[in-house]
Amino acid sequence: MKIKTFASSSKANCYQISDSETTIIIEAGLSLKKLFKHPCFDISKIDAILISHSHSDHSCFINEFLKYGIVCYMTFETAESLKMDKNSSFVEIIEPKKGFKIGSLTIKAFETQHNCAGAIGFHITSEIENKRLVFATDTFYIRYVFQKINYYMIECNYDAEILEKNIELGIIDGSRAKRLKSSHFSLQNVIEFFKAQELSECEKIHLLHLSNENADAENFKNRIMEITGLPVEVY
Amino acid sequence: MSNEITRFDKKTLEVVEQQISEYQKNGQIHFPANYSPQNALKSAFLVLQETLDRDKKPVLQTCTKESIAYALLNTVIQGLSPAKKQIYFIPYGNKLSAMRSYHGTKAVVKRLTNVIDINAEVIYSSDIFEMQIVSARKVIIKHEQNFQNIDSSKIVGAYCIIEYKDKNNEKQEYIEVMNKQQIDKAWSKSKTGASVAKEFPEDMCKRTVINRAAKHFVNTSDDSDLLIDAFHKSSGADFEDTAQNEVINNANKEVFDGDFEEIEETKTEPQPETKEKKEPKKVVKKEAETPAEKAGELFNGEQKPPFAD
Repeated sequence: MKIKTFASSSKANCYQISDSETTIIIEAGLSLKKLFKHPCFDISKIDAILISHSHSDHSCFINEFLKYGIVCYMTFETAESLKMDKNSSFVEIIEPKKGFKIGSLTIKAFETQHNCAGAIGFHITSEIENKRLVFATDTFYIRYVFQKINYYMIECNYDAEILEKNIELGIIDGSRAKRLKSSHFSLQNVIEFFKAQELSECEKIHLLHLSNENADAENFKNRIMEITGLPVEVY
Repeated sequence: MSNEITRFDKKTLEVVEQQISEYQKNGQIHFPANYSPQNALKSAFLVLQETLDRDKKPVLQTCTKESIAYALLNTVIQGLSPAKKQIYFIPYGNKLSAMRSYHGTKAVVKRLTNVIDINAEVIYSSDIFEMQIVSARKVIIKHEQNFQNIDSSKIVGAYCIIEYKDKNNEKQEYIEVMNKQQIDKAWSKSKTGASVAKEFPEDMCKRTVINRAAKHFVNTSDDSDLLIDAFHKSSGADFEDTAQNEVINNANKEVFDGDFEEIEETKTEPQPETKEKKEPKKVVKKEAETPAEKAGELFNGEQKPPFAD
């Protein structure tokens, strides 16, 4: 499975997952104009797009994809909030824990914990390559322990210690910090997440959606590498 | 139901009482002369019985026995009384916690060995306030306040003085000064503080500066760890909010089954119709048809083993 991160931040999110037969995009936070500039983005190869939740950094360019006839998969709540035409054959309503197939990929969504109704993460299996991937961003924790995962793409938004310092310094105000704590993954909670996972088949961990003010990419990478003993990539 | 609660009360109470008398025996804890831990426990329980959570249910029913025992223990170790509003019991999910008020903070600091007194005052914009720093310690030289200066809208800061005796039995002062900006920042961290602060700004300023002074002072005191520990555990800032409780209770608990059983079991190779129902994408996009079909074949052939185990 190939993983390409086009954008990962609170401004824009867009990821590409592909195996030798199927290519999907997760999140529509980047415009096609920007995506076309990426050499590994080929709109004609995109089989579908998945949207995790309705916040604009994940969904605002959804209509551009629809214009190209790419089917968008999202939960009912997300479709409601994005004012999608749910009868359209380009809009597929999905439910957590109900599997569906896109080409050679089998996908099962799971609920994530975010300040947004109908937010989900994805468990993606490539049947031809026999690889499994978990994608979860914008969630302050994950309810689940996954099995036999080869790739994790997990949000690691902020370090609680840096956040505390920033509150003291007045860079982050209290109400924003409170919101962060109940909507985004902290390094400390990500560490707990990986401690609980069974990582024997895992090949690589991708940390997504790092905060500009409250994160230290190098430290995040080292801490997660220390815990898991696996290669870690940070975006 | 009421029977159940009484039984539960007595049991928890006994556990806490035993623990406290053990601490007393070992000399780990000393109570002020006029403080009776037994009476404090009983009055704490009267308060607890009337404490309700967000859903208007009694906390004695909704909170865990351990957290109730712990909250009570923390109260008594600090020598505080909920009847005097020195401490409040607040449920976070199913965990009860004891939160100190600023009267409570003052009472605890006064209990520390060597502390003589702790006081706070607010500074208004037309006050004459002079301070100096001597060997990295703040010293307040002068604070003059006219009665006419008192105006809640013109607070510029607040300070707290803790008087104590040092090793040579000489009187010393620990001083904490905060300007309005720092106080506002501290308020913005609290859940309800900001709205209360607008109504009673003087009290809130004093509270903030007392809390800060107390924290610094307590951390550098030589008093029993038991007391210091209890002190920190019932300071507001040390309590993780409900979000973190939710994380502790729910995160990484359930095993997620990522396998896709339904199709594997029901579908046999030559049934593209069922696939089409699950995959309307194919109707829309022509070129996707081939890889999807190919995948279907592979799925039933080579790929069976991973789903079989």
